[in-house]
Amino acid sequence: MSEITREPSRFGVAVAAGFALLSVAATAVVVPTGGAVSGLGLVVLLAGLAVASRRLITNGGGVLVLGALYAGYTGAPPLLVLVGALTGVLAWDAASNAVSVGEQLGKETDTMRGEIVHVVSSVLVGSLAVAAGYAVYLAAAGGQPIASVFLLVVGAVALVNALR
Amino acid sequence: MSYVDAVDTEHWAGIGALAFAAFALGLPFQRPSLFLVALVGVGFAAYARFGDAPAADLTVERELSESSPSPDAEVTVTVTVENAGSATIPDLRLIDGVPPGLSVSDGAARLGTALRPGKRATFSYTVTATRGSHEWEPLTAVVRNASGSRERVVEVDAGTTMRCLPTLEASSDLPLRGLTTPYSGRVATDVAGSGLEFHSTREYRRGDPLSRVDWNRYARSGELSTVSFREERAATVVLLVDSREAAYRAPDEDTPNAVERSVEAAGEAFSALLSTGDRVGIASYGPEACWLAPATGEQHRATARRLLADHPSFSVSPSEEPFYPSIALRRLRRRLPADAQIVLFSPATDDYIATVAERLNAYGHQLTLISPDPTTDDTATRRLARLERDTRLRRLRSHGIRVIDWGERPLAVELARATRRWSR
Repeated sequence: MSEITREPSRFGVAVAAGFALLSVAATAVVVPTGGAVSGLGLVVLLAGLAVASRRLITNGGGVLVLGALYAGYTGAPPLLVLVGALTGVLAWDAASNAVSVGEQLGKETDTMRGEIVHVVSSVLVGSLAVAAGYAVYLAAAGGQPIASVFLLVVGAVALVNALR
Repeated sequence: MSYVDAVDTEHWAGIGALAFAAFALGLPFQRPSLFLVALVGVGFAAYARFGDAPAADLTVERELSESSPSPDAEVTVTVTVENAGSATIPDLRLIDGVPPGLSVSDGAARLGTALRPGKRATFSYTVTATRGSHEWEPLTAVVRNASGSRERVVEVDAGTTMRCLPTLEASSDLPLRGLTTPYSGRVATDVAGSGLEFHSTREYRRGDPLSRVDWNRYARSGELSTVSFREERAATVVLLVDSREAAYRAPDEDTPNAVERSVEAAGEAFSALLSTGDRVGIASYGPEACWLAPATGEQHRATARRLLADHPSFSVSPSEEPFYPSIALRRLRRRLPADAQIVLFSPATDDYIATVAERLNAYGHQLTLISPDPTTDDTATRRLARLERDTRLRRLRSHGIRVIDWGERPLAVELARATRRWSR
C-alpha cells in the first residue's frame, strides 16, 4: 500500500533552489557581503524545504532579499539588485507553494502542471514590475531618477489600494 | 456539488513588509534601486490581492476497470475531471475519496494541475479489491487563484460503487462435532449402523444384510455375527460471526481486522460444509443483526455470498448502532434449530464473548470456536492482552469447547493441526 509522503514536491524544490541560487549569484557579483547574507538565506530556505516548515522558508526568503537590500544600500547597480530581490521573492514563492502542494497532495502525486502555471505567472508578474520600474528609472536617468522612482512607488501603492 | 467561500491562504503574507522595508531603507539613503525593489514588493502585493479563487464548476467521471471484481483483484480507477465553468482554474488540486475499506496499491489518488474551461484532466490509480460494497466518497478539489493567495475547497460527487463478492472457496473440510440431523451426511456419529468406519460387532439378527455379516468369524467359529459401522449423518451448522465493536481488532493498520478474517473464514467454511451436504446458516453477533437460516443448495450459496459481501453487520468498520447483548443472545437462541451446531468466529478479545460461547455450548449447541488472533507482543500492555486471551481460550477448552487459535498461517493449516489433536 502506498502511503502519502507529505513532503514538498521535487519540482517545487528544484525551482526554489534555482531561483535562490540565482539571487545569491546576482547579489554576490557586486557586493560579496550581501552575497554572504543571501547565502545564509539560501541555506535557511533549503533547510525549511527539507523539514517542510513554512516559517523557516519565510525566514530564509526574507534573509535572501535582505542580502539584495544590503547590496542596494551599498549602491550596487539597480538592475542586479532588482534581479537579486526578484529571484529571492520567487524562490520564497516557489518553496512555499511546494510545501502547500506537498501538504495537500504529497510527494508521489503528479503536480507538475499546476506548479508550472504558478511559477510562470509569478515570474511574469515580477518581471512586469521590474520592467516597469526599470524603464521609468532609465527614462528619468538624466534628470531626477530618485524622485521619479519614488513617485512611481507611491503611485503604485495608491493604485493597489484603490483597486481593493 | 457544494460551494464554499474562499479563504486566505497567507501565501503572500509578508510581501508588504518587504516593500515597506525596502522603501523605508531607500528613503534616508536616497537609493533608487531600493525604491525599485519596493516596487517589486508592491507589484506582488497587488498580484496577491488581484482576483479571487475561481468558482470551480467541475464534473467528475470515475471509471473502474472492473465494477464487481473478485477479492484481491487489482482494479484500475480512472478519474476524469472537466472544468465545466467559464473561468480558467490556474491551480487545481484533486484528492479522490477512496473508500475507507480499500487501499491504493499503485499510483496516487491525487493530482495537481491547471485547467482551462472545457478541458479535462485525467489521473488513474490502482486499488486492491476487498470483500464488500465500497462507495466512493466525493472528490475533494482545492481551487486556488493564480497567485495562490485565495483558496476554495469544493467537493464533487460522482457516485461510484464497487461490489466485491467473496469467492467462497472451500479450502479444507471443517471438522464438525457429534450433533447431527437424522439425514445421512459425512459426520461420523456414535450410532451403530451402515457407514464406513468400524463401530462394533453384535449377534446376527434376522434381516441383517448379508454384506454386513462377518464371514471370517463364521468360518472360524461357526457363529453368525454382524458388523456395525458408525453411521454418518449430516449436521446443521450455524456460522456465527462476532461483529461487536470489540471484535474489530487488528495487529496493525495494514493487516485485515479480526472481523474481516472471520468473515473470510466463514465464507470458506460455508462452502466446505455446503459441498459435504450439511445444512449451513449464517448469523452475526453484533449491533446489526444478520440471520440466514440453515439450508442447502446453490441458491442458498448465492444468497450467502451476497450476504457476506454486502451485509452491514460484516462491514470492514464497526457499526455505529447500539448493541444490546442480552436481546441479541435471546433472539439468536430463538432462531437456532435445536440440533444446530455452532461455529463461532471471534477474536475472543473480551470475557463477554467467552461466556456467550460457554452458554451456547451449555444449551446443547455444540460449539467450535475459530479465533483469529489479533494480538501482538511489542509492548507490555499488548503482551498482557495476549496472555489474557490465551487464558480465555484455555478456559473455553477446559469447558469442552473446541478452539482453533488461528494465527498468521492459513486456516486450512490450523484446521489440520487441530483436527489431529481432537478426539471424536
